[in-house]
Amino acid sequence: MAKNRKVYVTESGEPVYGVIAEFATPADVYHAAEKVRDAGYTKWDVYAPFPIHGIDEAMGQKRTVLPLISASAAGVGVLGAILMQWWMSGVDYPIVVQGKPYAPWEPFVPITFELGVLFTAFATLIGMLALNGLPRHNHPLLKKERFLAVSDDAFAICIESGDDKFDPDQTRSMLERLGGKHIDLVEGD
Amino acid sequence: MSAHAAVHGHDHSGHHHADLSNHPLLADGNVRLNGSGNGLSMLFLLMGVAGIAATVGAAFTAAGKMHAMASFQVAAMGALAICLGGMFFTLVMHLTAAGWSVTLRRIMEHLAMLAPVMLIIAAIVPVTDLLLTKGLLYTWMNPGYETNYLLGKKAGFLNPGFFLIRLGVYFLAWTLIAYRLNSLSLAQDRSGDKWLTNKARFTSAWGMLVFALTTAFASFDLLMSMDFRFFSTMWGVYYFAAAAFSSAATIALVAASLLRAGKLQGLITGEHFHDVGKLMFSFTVFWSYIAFSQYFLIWYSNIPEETVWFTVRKEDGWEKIFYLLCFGHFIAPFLVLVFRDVKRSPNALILVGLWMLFIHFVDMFFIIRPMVTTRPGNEALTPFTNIWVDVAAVLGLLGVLGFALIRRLGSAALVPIRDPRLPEAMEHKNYV
Repeated sequence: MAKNRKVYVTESGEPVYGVIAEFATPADVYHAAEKVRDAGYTKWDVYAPFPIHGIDEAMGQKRTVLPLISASAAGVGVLGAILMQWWMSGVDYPIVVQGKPYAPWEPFVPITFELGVLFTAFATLIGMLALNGLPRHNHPLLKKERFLAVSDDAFAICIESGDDKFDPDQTRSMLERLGGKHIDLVEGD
Repeated sequence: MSAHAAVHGHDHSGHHHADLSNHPLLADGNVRLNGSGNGLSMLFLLMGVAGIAATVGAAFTAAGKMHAMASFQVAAMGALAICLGGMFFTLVMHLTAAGWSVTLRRIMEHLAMLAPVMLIIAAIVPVTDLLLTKGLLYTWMNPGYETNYLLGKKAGFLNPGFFLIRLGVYFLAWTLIAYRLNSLSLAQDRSGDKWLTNKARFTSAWGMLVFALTTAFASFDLLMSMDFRFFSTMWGVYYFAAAAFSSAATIALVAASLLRAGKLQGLITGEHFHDVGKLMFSFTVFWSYIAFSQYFLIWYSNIPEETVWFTVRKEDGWEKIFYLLCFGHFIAPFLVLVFRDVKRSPNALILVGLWMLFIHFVDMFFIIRPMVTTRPGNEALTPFTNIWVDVAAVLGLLGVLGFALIRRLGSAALVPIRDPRLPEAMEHKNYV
């Protein structure tokens, strides 16, 4: 991982983001993804206008750590809610309500549930955005006119220059072998 | 199959759905028991006879008639819930036109078919109580309460004639729903007529409404009316939640056992268990949600006829069962089933399913058995006095249920072999 990574630049001195190739059908991009995965690439992505079933396995994607983030937040929310209510109504300001005990667990439940859900929802949303590197204002791929079609009818694979196995010539020729069309260098970082 | 397509005039599609008649996974060895469950069913029958004999015998020991009746009812209402849950899942799978669950639906249909049988078994104690023991367990049947003000207000509903009529209505309704859905499915096995699926769906539309009302009222009659003072508008939902909870666990247990017996290979996969596990998880949460809602509102509003029901269940040892339910019916299954790998593993679901069935009967025990310990004169009894009677009764009726279920499973193909959505079920995959 830590080996000296080359920084590629174009003739005009622009940094290279990666190499993009287009594929005609979901099946083509699916099978190409399997080959890219088997070639050992790690920093790359498949772009498609809709979710392709099974693409996660074809890309060799690991399961996300998002559930762990959500579960941790749920734990914090639940424990925090119980502690807060117990301290408020049992320690700091005990007050008799309807002749019930000072800190009964029953009325704590709805608030514990709500706070657990609230923390989980926030953590899941924010965690998802953070793991995806969002929000961001621009992306090097958006400069490519042809790339915009991936939200309509095109399927593409982009292998990024940050990948350890990335090599401008070899990566391009591999994508060619896999049946990629309109192979292009993407500039930007 | 193409010959069938030509014969069936109402097949307008021009081409028949995928022809699976020669599919290797649907070979008889994979989708029929062929007598391989006979040994186990005999074991269940033995357990059933022994358990019921012990329970009946307990009536003549120190435990006494009332204890024996209550224990029998713990077992019968628990087993009835499992069967009613099967009916609910059959209905809901048809209503939602579910494809994934087709390979599991026969198990649900068989459970549903056993609901009327279990109702007869669950009616033995109340009818005996009405005619012979005169309100030993079902207090409203006791002539000693005839002048009771609260009972007087409820006598329009809680009277012997109407009670028996209602039991008859439940029996007819459940027989009609279960028999129609099961026979449509079996007829499709023979004819391959895909339009029978639509008929089942139509039946499920009115069937769901009838099921919901009869289940709720049956739970009022067979459980809530034991203490005629008590009432809860949540009661029907509570019993329904118990039914779906226990039934989801049973479906997982049966499916995993069939898989271990070498049946349904490739027809029920980790994908199906994942979804059954989700049902187990969601009805764990659902039960907890409505059980707490019922308890919480009664706790808050503090109305004596309602609170007395929970007060006696939070003292004299019953509080242990109360907290066991909080832990075992919610926290434990929640924390275990939340993991994806648990839901996808048949062996893990067997362990979780067995626990869920255990805690389901503890739930019934918590509802019914305090009737015995709180009866005047029984102050010395704890929840655990003569607990063997409860264990015997539950094992006995689980034996009867297991025996009947295996016999039914052996009577037909284990999956609806010509259901038009069978290919969808066989290809089923969770993409998350």
